Amino acid sequence: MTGLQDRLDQLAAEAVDGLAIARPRPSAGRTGQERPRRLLLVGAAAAMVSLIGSAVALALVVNGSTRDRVETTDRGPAPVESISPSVELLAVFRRPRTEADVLPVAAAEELTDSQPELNLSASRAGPSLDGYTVYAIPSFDGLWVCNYLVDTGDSGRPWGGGCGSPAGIVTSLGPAWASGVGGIHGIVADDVIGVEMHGKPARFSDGMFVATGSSSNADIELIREPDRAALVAACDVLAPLVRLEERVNPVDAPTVAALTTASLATAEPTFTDLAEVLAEAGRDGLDLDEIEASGGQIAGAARAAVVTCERAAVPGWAIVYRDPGGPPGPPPPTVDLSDYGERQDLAPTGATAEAIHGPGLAPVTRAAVGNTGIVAFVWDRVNPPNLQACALVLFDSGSSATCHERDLAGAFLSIDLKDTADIQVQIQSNERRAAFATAEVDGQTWVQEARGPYFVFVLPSGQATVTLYDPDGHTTR
Amino acid sequence: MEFDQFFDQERDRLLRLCWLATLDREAAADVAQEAMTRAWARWDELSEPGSNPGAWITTVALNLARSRWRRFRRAAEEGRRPVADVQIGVTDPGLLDAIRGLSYRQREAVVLRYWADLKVEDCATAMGVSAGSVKRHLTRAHERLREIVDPSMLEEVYL
Repeated sequence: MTGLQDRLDQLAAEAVDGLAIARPRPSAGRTGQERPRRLLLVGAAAAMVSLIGSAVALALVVNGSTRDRVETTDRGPAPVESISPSVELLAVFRRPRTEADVLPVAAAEELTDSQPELNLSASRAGPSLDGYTVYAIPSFDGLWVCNYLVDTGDSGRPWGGGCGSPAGIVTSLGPAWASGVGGIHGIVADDVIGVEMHGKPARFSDGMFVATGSSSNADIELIREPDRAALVAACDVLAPLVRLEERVNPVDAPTVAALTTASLATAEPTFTDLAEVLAEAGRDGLDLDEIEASGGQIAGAARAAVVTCERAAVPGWAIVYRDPGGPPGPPPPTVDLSDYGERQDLAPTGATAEAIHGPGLAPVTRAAVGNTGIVAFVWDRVNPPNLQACALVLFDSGSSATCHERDLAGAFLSIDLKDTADIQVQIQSNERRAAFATAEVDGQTWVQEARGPYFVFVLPSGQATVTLYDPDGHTTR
Repeated sequence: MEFDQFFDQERDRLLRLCWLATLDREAAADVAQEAMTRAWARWDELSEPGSNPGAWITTVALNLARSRWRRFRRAAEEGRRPVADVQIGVTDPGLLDAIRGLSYRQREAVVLRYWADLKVEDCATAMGVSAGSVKRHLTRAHERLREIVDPSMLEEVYL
């Protein structure tokens, strides 16, 4: 080494001291040569946590159903139950923001190697979970993946406990979390897309579902992803976005022009991975029977999108909810995106977070009833030419929707991207013959071939008029 | 080469590279993890004879780090994110200050040229720029580094 090389290396070595990355591994039933499904985990996850010292018990048994219940009691330790080893690999969890978060990212084997402060055997007694951090770690193939519930509580006292071999790595998250905010915080099992505690939905924040309220005798429900088929999107969606660039005049279509080839020129464009994951998620097709349902499931689907985007480290995205319409029911769910400030500014029109997620959007999402859909657009328009774009589309048939058929060919999509970044999306079905579509905005026309059941346009500001055509070029709508 | 072997071989280097590129522990871990996961996902291809997974993951990591840095810089400029100024305990704070003072591209060039010991042409490939651009970044970086580094350690760069 040269002197400078040596000094740089020493500096870096000191700086990363204590950091670790997890070794990607195949999940159960997979070989090492198969691609990992690392971003989106669906499937029949089963995780079990049973723990907690002499006076507190929290048992979480996930059996793959839509909603699972977690109960905390003060009646003593719960029995240690077996662990169902069917959670697929998630090698990469988003790292919490602070070092005090103690690395819930890595596989447990690396946790134990790199985080000797983890207390794997301690136990404590207490009236509730307040102040304690609970990691639940489902296992498969000898690999331990960290899922955890964090109970910040009021006391913030560190606690450790184990609950059977080797589930239950427990540690304190340190002062960053001992903030005096009561409640349970949790990143839960991989396919959990919503958490409710005491009947109130938890906020999704910084990779965690955060529920507040007393965690003593807490009634916690985990909302699980309805079905992998419920999450639809993908290469079919992404590819047109990319190819669209070839079809438009960048001068006239600034939004689309942002999709420069620079993002493709990188060795590994981010959206490629996302596309693959989403494609895998949607490969089985859209099963509206599965997802025609409650607002809770809509919320779940949307949260799945949030989680997906988050885990994909997609830098810019937003989600628009649509009320499924139909008879009066629970209000549309809301997704609190306020914790994604660094992303919210990345909307195509450069709007502020408030414009996207605040009052400007709410009327749109509430008023545009009667149809299907949750649409999530993912942007990265940070600084051209380093741009990427993704979109994923989730459908919920809703109670009034006309697209109960599995085949949504001919989905009708119009997008209104206004200067305020309001996004209005309409998706209609029942046009099975549609082979391609045109979208016209201010005299400019874009053409898209059907990608599966979807037509996806990224358009400049203005009102788009979309026309569907059958394979022979006849207008179908 | 098996992936496990590659992982063991590259892990530490990758983390250090990512930190040198980002000067942020959290970012370094994120980027390194992402790059390694991508390598794993493509291991069939990367393990073929003639491929260079080490160079590949270096490029991927730098791309990821660069993208992240741009996001954060913009956020910081707009006041939505505090400028990262985490103090870390190191035994060579002068060097740390010096590389902190470099532009991102200058730092990339320095890291690749002096720490990774790549040729200028290889630096250019990894950075996605021309060799001339690398030399310009190095030349500018040298002006700052000379304050804390023996100038004899800095190679002469001919633009």
